[in-house]
Amino acid sequence: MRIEFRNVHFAYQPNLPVLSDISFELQTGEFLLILGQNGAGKSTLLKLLNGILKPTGGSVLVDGYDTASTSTASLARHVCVTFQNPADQLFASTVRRELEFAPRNLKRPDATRLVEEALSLCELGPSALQHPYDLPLAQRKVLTVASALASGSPFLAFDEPSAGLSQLERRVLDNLTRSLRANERGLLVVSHDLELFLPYASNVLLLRGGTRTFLGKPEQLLREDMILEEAGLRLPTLMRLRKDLGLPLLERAAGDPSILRG
Amino acid sequence: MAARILIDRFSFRYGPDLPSALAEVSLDIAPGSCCGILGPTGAGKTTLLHALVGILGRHHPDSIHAGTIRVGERTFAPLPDEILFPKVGLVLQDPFVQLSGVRDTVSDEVLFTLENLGIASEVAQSRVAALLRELGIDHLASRQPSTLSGGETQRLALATMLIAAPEVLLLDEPTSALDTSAVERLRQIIESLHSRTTVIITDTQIDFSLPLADQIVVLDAGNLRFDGKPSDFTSRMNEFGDVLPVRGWREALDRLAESSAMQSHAADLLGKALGKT
Repeated sequence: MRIEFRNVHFAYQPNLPVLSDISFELQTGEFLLILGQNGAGKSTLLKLLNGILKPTGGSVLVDGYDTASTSTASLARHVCVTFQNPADQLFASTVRRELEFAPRNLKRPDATRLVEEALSLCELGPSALQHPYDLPLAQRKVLTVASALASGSPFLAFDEPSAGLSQLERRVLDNLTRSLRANERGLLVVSHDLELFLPYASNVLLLRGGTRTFLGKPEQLLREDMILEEAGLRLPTLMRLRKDLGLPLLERAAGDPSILRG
Repeated sequence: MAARILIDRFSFRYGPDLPSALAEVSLDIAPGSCCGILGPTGAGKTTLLHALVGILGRHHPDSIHAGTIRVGERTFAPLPDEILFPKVGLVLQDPFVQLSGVRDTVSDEVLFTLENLGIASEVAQSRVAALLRELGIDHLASRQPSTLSGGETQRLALATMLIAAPEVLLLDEPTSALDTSAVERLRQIIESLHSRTTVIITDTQIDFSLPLADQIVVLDAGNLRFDGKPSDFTSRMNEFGDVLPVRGWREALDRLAESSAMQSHAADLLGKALGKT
């Protein structure tokens, strides 16, 4: 299964392009990390995945379905997208109901298992009966990720999932990302959090002003500083420091033998 | 004049049946200094900022509190029951909540703060334009606030407070949605406020505050676990591996201390943390 962006253009208003000529492919089992400055078009790109937005040029194919002619409800079976602001997404009266919504409506035969799995992997079990809005913001963000997970869709797309998360929830996301990669789900993540996600990414897509300036391996991005700088970005303080000192830049969590070196 | 903040054995519970959000926390934050309050979710960071700006007592009538809070010359026992803006300015953790929602453009949204303070519009207009430039969002001046991206909204929320030039500026996880170049800009803005404004930054990460702060505080589940100089914090940071992302820092800082001649932007940034200034 795969997602294809073929020369995609998008504009909210005529003559004000937000995305121009974006192409890439993603298979299940791969992880595409999407980087770019604030306003580069990252969140817009995610909304094109499930047909909330339709391309104004080119095409987006999800598992062979053209998003221009497929409803968002049907696309949800293939790809589930979270929003940056949890308030745009959460509506159920308890955490458990929130998680049940997608698998029930998608008529997944293993809905109960999917919900239990999401609760446990995202460590939301103790809050299952709480109202989502009684949770701290960080946990509400984790809940948006959990509800995507519970959808059972082969592709998941997260918009800034780690923004505002502390060490406690970041550990959950770290485990979750590892588990999704091991389970051959396809992952698209928009994030500024290079420390958390770069070690797991199979590819990085870098946007600048709505155009693709880089598509390649994380190792290449780390070797060539200019690539990030030209897109108005830089490595976080710790990564820059470690790079200057010749220390390994990124390590996956213990138990995973692969280490990225810049 | 920047204000000193003195918090004396301050405790707070949101309700009689709820656990302590803050338990006997005492802090002395020097006027014009920058204090980084670090800790995980549920540490009490936001509660402390809300207490300082005066929204905590008003919005939680069932709360239980003790101790005293002093902001500048005024002492509150235990906490302010009036909003201390514009003396104290708070940028909320969720920037989408900060915006008024009644203004059509980014520039008008920032102007709205000054209008509410009764500042004449000619003066106000040019101050707004200058601040938007400083924050790198001048190209968004005529955009509708609701169409901004997450990081752009966070910078607008910052602008609505910075424009009021408060004596005390409280920033609740101000970089959560910012790209790395916006983070650098904000760092420079906060540096430029040094000695004029008392700045308190809360964060779950250490990257942003460590180079800026004169004082580092670690809160965990309402308790004060550390209060001291950044250089003392870095020498003990491995103790906080359960609540802060310290992995990789200690090794880098030790190596940096050995190779003191090394030229590096990152090394320059961390002068305070290494006890060099």
